[in-house]
Amino acid sequence: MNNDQITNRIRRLRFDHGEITQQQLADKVGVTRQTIIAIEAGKYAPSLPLAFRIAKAFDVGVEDVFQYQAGSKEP
Amino acid sequence: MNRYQKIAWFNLIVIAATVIVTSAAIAVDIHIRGYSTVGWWFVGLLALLKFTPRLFKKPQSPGGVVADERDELILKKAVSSAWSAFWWVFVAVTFLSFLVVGPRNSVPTIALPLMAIGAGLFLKVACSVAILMQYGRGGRDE
Repeated sequence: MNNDQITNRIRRLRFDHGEITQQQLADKVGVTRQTIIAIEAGKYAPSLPLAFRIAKAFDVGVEDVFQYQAGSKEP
Repeated sequence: MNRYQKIAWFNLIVIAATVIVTSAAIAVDIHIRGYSTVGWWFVGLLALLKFTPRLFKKPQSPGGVVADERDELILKKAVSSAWSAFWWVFVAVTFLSFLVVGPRNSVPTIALPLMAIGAGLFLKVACSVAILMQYGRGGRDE
């Protein structure tokens, strides 16, 4: 089983960038608020274009928003 | 709650109401007359499902996002899992009916349209449940 994990700092970045709401961020990147909530909670891994749009919204690199943690691969 | 969730709830409510009202009407009809013809007319309540696109129109705000990549993915997964569930149930029902009815008996022809309606309803219910399960509980704005 693949235990790879993608974590993110969206919540932190939102507060660092003038405490913008999830709705404001959603409007900025062109998704629904529910999707931002799901990404923040780690329940949904965004597509690469969306990940870049989120990073661009905060004016940072995509690796500053999303972190990849490789898990153990069990057969 | 977004548009897909509202449609899913609407489908479940209409189907549940149809099943309950039709069953009750058939039971009453059989109790009074010994057979039922009127009760089946209540299946027509399912026609309400045809009004779904009119009842849940896409909002026309220029900047507003109605559905995004996650919504499309949820919809695709829901349809796929509904079909998988349907085929498992279909195979199970055909084998079980053979075991229950037996090789020498026959089923009435009314069973054919009922199976078709049942299959359609099962797919709708399974798809709606899968959509609602995937969305789960919506979070609060912060």
